[in-house]
Amino acid sequence: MHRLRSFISRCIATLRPRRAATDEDLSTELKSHVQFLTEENIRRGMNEADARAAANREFGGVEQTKEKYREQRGWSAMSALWRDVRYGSRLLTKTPALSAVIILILAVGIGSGTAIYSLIDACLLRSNTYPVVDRWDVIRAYLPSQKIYSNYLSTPEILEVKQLTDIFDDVGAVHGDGFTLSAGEFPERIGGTHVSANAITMTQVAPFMGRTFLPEEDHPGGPLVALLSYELWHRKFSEDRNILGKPIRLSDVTYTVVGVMPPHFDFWGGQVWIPLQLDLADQNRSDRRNWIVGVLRKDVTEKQANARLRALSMQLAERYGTAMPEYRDWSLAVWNINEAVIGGVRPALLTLAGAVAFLVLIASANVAILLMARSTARMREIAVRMALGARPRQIVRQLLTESLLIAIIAAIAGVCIAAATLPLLVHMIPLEWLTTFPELIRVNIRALAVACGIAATVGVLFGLAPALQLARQDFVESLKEGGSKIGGDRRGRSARSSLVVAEIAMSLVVLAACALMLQSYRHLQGIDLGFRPDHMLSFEISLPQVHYARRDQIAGFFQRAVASIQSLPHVDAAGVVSGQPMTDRTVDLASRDFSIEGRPTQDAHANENANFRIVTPGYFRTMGMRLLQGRALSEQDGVNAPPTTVINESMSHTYWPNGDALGKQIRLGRVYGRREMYAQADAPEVVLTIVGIVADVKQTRVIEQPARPEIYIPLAQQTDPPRDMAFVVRSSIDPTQLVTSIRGALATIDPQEPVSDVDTMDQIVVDAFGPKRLTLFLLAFLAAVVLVLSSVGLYAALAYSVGQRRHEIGIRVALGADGRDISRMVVAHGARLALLGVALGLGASLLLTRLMKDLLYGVSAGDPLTLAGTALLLTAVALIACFVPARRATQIDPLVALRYE
Amino acid sequence: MTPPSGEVLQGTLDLIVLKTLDAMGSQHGYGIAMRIQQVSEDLLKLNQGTLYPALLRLEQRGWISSKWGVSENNRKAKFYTLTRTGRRQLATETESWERMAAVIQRLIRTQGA
Repeated sequence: MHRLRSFISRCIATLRPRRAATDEDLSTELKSHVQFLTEENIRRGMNEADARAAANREFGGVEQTKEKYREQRGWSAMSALWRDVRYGSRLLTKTPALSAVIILILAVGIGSGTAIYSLIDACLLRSNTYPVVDRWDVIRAYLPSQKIYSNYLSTPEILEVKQLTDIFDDVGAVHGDGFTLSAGEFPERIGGTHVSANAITMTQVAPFMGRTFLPEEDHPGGPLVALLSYELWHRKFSEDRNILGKPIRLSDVTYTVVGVMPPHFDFWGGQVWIPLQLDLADQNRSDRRNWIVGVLRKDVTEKQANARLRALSMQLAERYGTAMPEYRDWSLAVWNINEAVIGGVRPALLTLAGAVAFLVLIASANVAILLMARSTARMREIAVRMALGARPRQIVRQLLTESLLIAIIAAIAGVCIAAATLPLLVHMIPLEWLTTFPELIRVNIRALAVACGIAATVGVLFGLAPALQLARQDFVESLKEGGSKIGGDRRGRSARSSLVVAEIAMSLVVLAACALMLQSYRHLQGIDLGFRPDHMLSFEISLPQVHYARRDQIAGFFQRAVASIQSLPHVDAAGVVSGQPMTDRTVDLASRDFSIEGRPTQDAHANENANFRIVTPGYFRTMGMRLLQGRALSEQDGVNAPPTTVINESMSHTYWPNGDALGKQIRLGRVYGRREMYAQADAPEVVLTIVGIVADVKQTRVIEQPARPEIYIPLAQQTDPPRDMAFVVRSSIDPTQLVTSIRGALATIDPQEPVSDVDTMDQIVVDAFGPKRLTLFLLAFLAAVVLVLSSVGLYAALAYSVGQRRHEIGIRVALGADGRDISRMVVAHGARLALLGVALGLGASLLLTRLMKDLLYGVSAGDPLTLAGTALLLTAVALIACFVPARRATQIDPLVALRYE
Repeated sequence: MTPPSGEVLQGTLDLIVLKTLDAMGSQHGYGIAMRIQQVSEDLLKLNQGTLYPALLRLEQRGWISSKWGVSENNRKAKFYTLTRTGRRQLATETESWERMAAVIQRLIRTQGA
């Protein structure tokens, strides 16, 4: 029994936390020591109080001894940390509102910054494409005489680039195409790409199922095989696991499926890939119909590659220059695929990234202000602790733990905010604006890490400020009653003031950027598109070569289709065009050299060049384009009539500045661009008479760019009419109600041909503004957060300063200052900071907004009106932020304030 | 540089405590402090509080051990005892102290002459 009990107590002793026991032991031990001393003193004849005091003196400070003892005992790292964390969280909860605000601001900074950056990264940087994307290039030619890049090159040129094995790991060729997929109930138009066998393996992305192409499949007359995108496989083939080896029909040709690519594999925008089957024996250098893609060797820079390509261009000029004038001054160069995809959006990207950086900095500055204010308030407490024997190292460690505690809680909250905001943002943004799959937009870990890092650094730096300040000064000073209250804390105040000023300045930059974007967006929306997009439906039809080989078949189909649509009720007009304006695929697709009859060309090989579009006569009226001179094309401009053309205003201005273009003749030459669209590879030279001039139409989505010279040619007079055409229909009712009747009308002509890309013109125009609106939207979001944060910063600094100056304000009130004087004093203080910040911000804006001038249209980067408006708004918000602390200052009761000290 | 006279030299407190325990056997902190003052005839002004970190230090090194007990006047107190390694340590420290003291003495004398 006896033994058992002792065993149990031993067990309990082991289980009991050791540290707590020893701390208690020490107390007992020291207490008994002092008691011994006291008793001894009493025995010597002192009274009890004296005896105790003397004992304490002899012992020399119980608390200091404890502190030293503890230090000697050496906390295990964990228990010290635990103690600091406990103490830290106790302090945090002691001022719950302040702690919550600090954490909230930090979390909002981390969270929203990360969310926006993740969105930018996913949409614009697309850091998650292929492993080789940094070295993946398009090789294109620059033609200085036409000031255009030619992305399409000929077979001999492809082979010549392919021989540069010293700079390229691999070189392939591709060209985009459209196919009519006959699967399921209705035939459907899908995008597809012809690729050389190595082009897909070059991306180093493995197929999800099956295999990619074999070299033996990439010869003319080789087997007709196809690779499907995961999305197509999912959508049209219900993820059929046994699809490999099965036939599919693309534009009435049967292909065998050999593989399925993984989800989100984006290669030339297609949903299906088929072998290019390039005829390597083709010697025709002017038949340029493929893009060259290559992967740079790891040790080769773009500069080296371009030097090598330039040498090749010069070789070609030397050998073929006489027969082919375009070789004389052209030069080949690499164009990184990332650059090709995001090059145009880089200014937007940089602007947004800059705004995000400012957001995080402003949030950090806010936290710094609040932390400094809080720590300064704790100087007394720290001084007391140091007087009681705490070492500076311990104080620093503890403040550090506390700051880190804030940073960690804020980081966790920030992650939650980022995770919550991102889907919300993605949800708020229309799908068409996103350049990536929404499911690929995830919280970016690197951005999160950077934001948390900045937040933690700020927290630590400013959390430690009081300890560092104490290390410099005598803490006895801080202990003196009210010592640091009246005039003191000057350094802290000036630091806080500079932070507030910096914050306001940064906010102004972000607000100014947003205001400029807004202005330029409004200007863009005000641009005359050259056509009326309302009440218009558009769709596309591609005729298969199998059934439509001859000119009369192609032209006949489109003319009959237009006629039958025009006879439908509610249809005002209908037309067909070879390149529809403002769709996402409308880059200036095709252009043609020409010369003006009777006018000598200045330079033998510097031909004039203009975009061209093949149209039916009703196109101009349907689009609502303005006829400026002469007449529009008409049904009289038929096969047997003299060849005619209508040109646009830009062309008329450029070549006939005196306005005498009508009746002049032009001779058409070489064709550039997607020649596979046309029935015949080589267009014969024809002479056209200009019969009319129409207003410029914004053809591409880059609507701020001036229109290029443009030639409209009647479809009826084309010897090689294109098979891919877009229809435009103008109606008197909501155009979407016409879709069924139009499908019916077309089915009576050829039920096999699918209608694709059905959309209203209004929607197409809205989509064209998508990326710009996305930038504006994100920037506005950032600006709003920044505005709130900086006003909170100003508010916090002022409120703290009012708290600090209670005593002073109390004296002022006692000496007769009334509420208005006091509030004026506080508001003046805030206004000084705000105005200084606004002034600095204006300077910074003038410097920084210049970087976004490529983004702006119709408004200069330093637009005084926009900047003034922004400054006014910010000042107004800042003054509102001053109002609450000012009010609180007037409510200070001098009696309370003075007694408080 | 010169410590105020009567203050315990850095590092010598350990030796003093060890020697005291060697002489007295098991003893509590107060007893040790009294004994030191008694032996030094109050010449050594020991800040008694500093004794405890020193005791802990010695215990951590395994030179002394501690145990709760009851003092002569019936008060709960912690008693410290020299361990075997402590005894060995005392021998080495005494030896090195004597050597050091001799060296310093010689130095002072030479300087004086």
